[in-house]
Amino acid sequence: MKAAENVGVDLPIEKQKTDIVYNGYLERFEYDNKIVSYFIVATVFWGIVAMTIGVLVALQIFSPMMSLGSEYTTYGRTRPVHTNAAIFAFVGNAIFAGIYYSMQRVLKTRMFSDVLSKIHFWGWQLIIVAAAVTLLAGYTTSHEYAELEWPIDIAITVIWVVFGINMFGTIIKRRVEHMYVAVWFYIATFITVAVLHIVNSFELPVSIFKSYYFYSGVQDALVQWWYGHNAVAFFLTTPFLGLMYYYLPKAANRPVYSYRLSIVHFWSLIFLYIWAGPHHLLYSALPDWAQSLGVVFSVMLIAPSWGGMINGLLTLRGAWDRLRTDPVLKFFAVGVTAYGMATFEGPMLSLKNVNAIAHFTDWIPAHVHIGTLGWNGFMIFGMLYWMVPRLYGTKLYSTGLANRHFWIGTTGILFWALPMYFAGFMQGLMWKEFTEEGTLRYGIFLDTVLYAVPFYYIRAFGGAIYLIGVFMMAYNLWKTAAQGKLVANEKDEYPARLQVPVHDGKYAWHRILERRPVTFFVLSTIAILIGGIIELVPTFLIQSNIPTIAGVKPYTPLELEGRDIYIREGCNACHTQMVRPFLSETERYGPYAKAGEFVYDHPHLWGSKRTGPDLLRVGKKYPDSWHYNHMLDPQTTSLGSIMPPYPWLFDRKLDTGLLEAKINAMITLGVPYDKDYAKEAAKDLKKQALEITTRLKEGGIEADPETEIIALIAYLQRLGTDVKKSTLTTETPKQ
Amino acid sequence: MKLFSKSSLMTLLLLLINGWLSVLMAQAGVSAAEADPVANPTPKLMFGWFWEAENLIYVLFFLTGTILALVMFVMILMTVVLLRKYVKDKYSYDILEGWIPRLSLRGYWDRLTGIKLAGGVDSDQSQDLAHEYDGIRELDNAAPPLFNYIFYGTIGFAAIYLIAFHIADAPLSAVEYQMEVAAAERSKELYEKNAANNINERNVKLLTDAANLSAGKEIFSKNCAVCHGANGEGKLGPNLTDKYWLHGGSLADVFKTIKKGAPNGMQAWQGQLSAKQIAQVASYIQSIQGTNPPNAKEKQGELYEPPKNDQKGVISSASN
Repeated sequence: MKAAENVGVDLPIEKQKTDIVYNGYLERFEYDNKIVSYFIVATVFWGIVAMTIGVLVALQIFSPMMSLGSEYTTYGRTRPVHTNAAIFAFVGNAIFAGIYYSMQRVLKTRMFSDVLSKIHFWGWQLIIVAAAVTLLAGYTTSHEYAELEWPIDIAITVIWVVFGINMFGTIIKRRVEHMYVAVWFYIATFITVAVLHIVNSFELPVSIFKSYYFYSGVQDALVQWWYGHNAVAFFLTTPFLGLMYYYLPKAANRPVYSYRLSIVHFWSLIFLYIWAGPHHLLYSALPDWAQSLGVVFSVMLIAPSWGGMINGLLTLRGAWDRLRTDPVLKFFAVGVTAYGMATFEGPMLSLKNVNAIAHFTDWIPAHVHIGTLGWNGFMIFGMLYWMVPRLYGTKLYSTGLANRHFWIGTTGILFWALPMYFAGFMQGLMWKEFTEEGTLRYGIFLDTVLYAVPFYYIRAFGGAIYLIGVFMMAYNLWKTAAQGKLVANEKDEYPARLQVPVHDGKYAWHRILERRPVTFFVLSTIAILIGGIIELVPTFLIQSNIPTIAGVKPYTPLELEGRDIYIREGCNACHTQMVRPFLSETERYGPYAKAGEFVYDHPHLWGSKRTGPDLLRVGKKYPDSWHYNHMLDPQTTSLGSIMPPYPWLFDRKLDTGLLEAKINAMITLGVPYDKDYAKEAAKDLKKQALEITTRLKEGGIEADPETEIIALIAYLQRLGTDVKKSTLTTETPKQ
Repeated sequence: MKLFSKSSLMTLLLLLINGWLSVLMAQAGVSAAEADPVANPTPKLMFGWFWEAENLIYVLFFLTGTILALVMFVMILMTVVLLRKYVKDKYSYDILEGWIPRLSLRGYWDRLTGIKLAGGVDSDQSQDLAHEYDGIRELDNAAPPLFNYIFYGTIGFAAIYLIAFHIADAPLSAVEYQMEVAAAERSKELYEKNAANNINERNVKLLTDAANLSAGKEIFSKNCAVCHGANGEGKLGPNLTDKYWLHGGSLADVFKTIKKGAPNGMQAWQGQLSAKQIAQVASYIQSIQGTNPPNAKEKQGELYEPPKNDQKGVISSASN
C-alpha cells in the first residue's frame, strides 16, 4: 500500500460541477488491480469447472452409464459439486472481482489491506477445493447449497469476516463522502450472508467429517429454506445489483436513471426478501401461517426486484444504439431482462396453485437457470469483457468473438430453459391426472420420468453450447491479457474527505445515512433480521406449530446408519420425502406428511426435486429383496429406470466406529434414547442386520449382514411406517 | 422523496398492517392446531368465493405475466437485432417516439412510465443531482408510476390474502385437501351412476345369458383367437380353458388383463373394446373353462380354483 500524498492541484473542471468539497489539494493514491485480476482468473477457471460438471450431471440425469461406475462420480455427489461450484466458486469469485474493482473506485481509495485481500482470495480458493473434494468423497450435511461439513463452515465464516473487515476498512478510509448505491448493496450482502450462514450452520460435530444439525424436521426445513432462498437473494441478487449499478452506467456512459428508485428498491428489497423463504415449502408440513407469509412476501417482491431492472434498463437510455456493436451492453441488457423475468416468475411460482403444479418438477431448475445463466452469467461476462481490457491497459482482443459468445450464450439459455419449462409443466400435470374412474392416469411414476427424458437431451445440449461460449470468452480474455500488461497499481487522485455541511436538499435524510456507514450497517441489519425472527422464533418456541404424534419413535442404530448412507449418497437430490395434501399424492404415496413425523430427523430430508418418486412412505411397501436388487441394478426392478446403480454398498462393510458418538449426539439434540443406550446400540444394530439378512435369504439372496446395503434397506423399510401404525392411518390398502 | 409524502405514508401503513397481521397469524397458528379439521369436514366457508375467484385471478395473472415476460425477452433480442440493422445515430432510443404517437398511446405511456421521451436524454441535464462516483452521475427521475402501482397493488394483495386465509376462512391446505377428496368422491359417484359403460374390474359381473355369450364368442374369434386359438386352446398365448393362469383366473382378473394388457405380450384392449365388450368376452372365457379342446397348450402360471360362492356374481343380462 502506497501512502497518499497531497499535491496542490486544481480540481478538474467536470468535478467542480459536483458536490465534492475541495480544499485545494488532491491526494494521489493507487488502486490494487492485482487482486482483481486474481479473482478474474479464478472466476473463469471455476466457471469452466462448474459448467463442465453441469454438463456431466445433465447427462447423468438420463443416463446411469454416465455415473462412470464410481461412487465419486454418481449424480447424488456430483450435483452438489455443480451447484456449489456454480454459486460459490464461479459467481462468488466474480462478485469479489467486481467488488474489489468497483469499491476502490467509487470510494476513491485503495482496499483497506492488501494482506487481507490476499488471505481472502487464497482462503476462498482453498475452501472451494476442500468443498469439491469432500463433497465427492460423500461428506455432506444434506442442506442444499450448504452441504459442506462443519470445519469448512467455520473456514467460510473466517474468510467471510476477513472480507467484511477489508470492506468496512475500505469504507471507513474512503475519500468520497457518500457511499454510492453499489456499496449499499455490498453492505447488505455482507451482513445477510453472514447471518444466514451462521444460523444455517448450527451443527453438532460427531467427528471431523460428520455432524448433525441442531434443528430437526420442520424447523430444520424452515431454516434450510430461509437460508436457501436468501442465498439466492443475497449471494446471487444483491451483490449483482450492486455490480450492475457500477458496471452498467460505466459501460453505457450514461447517468443512473433514478436515484430515488435506488433508495426505494434497495430498502424494500432487503426488507422483503428475507421473509420469502417458506415459499419453498408450500403445501408441506410447515405451519400454514409461515407458508402464507412466504406467499405474500414473494408477491410483494415483484416491485422491488423490478425496481432494479427498471433502473438498469432506463440507464441504457441514449446508449441503445451501442447495443449494435458493444458486446458488454448486450450482455447487460439481456442479463437485466433475465433478472426481470426470473423475479416475476418467482412470485408467480410462490402462488399456491401454481406451486402445486410446478414444485418438485423440472420447472424449478428452468427458473433457477434463467437466473444463473441469464442474470448472473451474462452480468459476469459483460463485466469481464469490460474490466479485463482496462486492467491490462489494452483493447478487447476480439469484439466479434465476444458478440458471438453473446449469441451462443443466449441460444444456450433458450435450449436449456424452454424444454425444461415444458417438461416440468407436463410432469406436474401428469402426476395429478386422474382417469374418470378416479384412478391415477399415470400410476407408474416411471412413465412421467421417461416422458421428460427427450427434454433432458435438449437441456444437456443447451448447457453444452453455453459452455462453449465460456471457452470462447476464456480464449478472448486470455488473448486480451496477453496483448497488454497488467496495471497492477493504477494511479488516481482525489481530494481528501472533508467535513461536509449538513444536507438540506430533497434527499437530505438519505444523504446523511450515506455518510454514516455504521448507522447504515445497523439499519440494514435490522431490516434483514425482522423477517427471519418473526418466522423462525415462533416455529421454534410455540409447541403447537409441530403437534406430536404418539407412534413416532427414534431410529434404530442400523436405521440411523442407513440414513447417513442415504445422506452420503445424496439420495435426496432426486427423491423427496414430503407427501403433500393432494389427492394425487395421497393416492400414490399414502397419507400426507404431518409436522410431528419429522421431530427426530436431524437433518430433515424433504428434498426439493422429484426426479424419482417420493420415499416418505416407502417403508414396507416392497420386500427387502426388492430394495436389494434395486440398489444393485435399478433396471431389474424398474425397467427403463434412470437411477444409477450403487454396487459399492454391497462390498463395503458398514463403518460403525462412530455409532456411539452418533447416538450420544442424538441424545444431546433431544432424541429420546435411553441415557446409556449408546453402549447397547452396536448389539441392536447387529441383531437388526441379521433379521434383514434372514429375510433376504428367504427371498433367495445371500447377503453379508455387515455391508452398507443392509443399513440402507433398514432405513428405507422404516420410512413412514410409524405413521402407518398410528391413528393417522385413514386409508385402507387397495386390493 | 419526502419522507412524509402521501405515497410513502401509504407504503409504511401497509407494511405496518402486514407486520401486525403476522403476529396475529402466529397466534392463529396456535388455535388452528388445536382445532381438529377432521371433526369438521365440511366447513361453511364465508370466504370460499375468494379461494375460487383467486384461482381464476392466479391463472389470468400467471398467463399474462408469462406472456409479458416472454414478450419482453423477445423484445430485447429484437431490439438488438433491429438496432444492429437500422439505427445509426446516437439518440436511437428516440425511435420509440416514432411508433408510440402513431399508436395514440403516448399519453398513457407517459403517465404509466413517467419517462419523458420527448425531451430525450438532453433533458437529463436538468435532472442531474450533482452526485458523482468515479464518473457515474445520478438523475432525479421519479420512480415510474407503473412501478408504484405494482408495489401498492401487491401490498394490497398481501393484506387481503392474509385476511382471507387467516382471519376469515379461506381454506388452508388441510381443508383444501378435504374439499378435494370430497369433490373426487362426488365425481366418482356421479361417474359410476351416470356412465353408460361403467363396468370395471372392481364391479364386473359374470354374464351367463346366451346373447351376451355369443357376442363374447364373436369378439373372441375376431380378436383373441389369433394368439389363444379358435377354441381357447392356446397358441402363442396361453391356454384359456385350463385352470392355470398367468395373471389370475377370476373374472375380475381376466377382465383386467384384457383391459390393461400384460408385460408378456398381451395387448391392452381398452382402446379397442368397450367395457361392456370386455365383460362379454371375459364371461365367454369363463364359460369355456374345462372344455378341454384338442391341441391344448401345456399349463402355464398358477392354479386357480373358483371360490364356492362364485355363483353370487351370476346375474341376468338385464343389469346391462
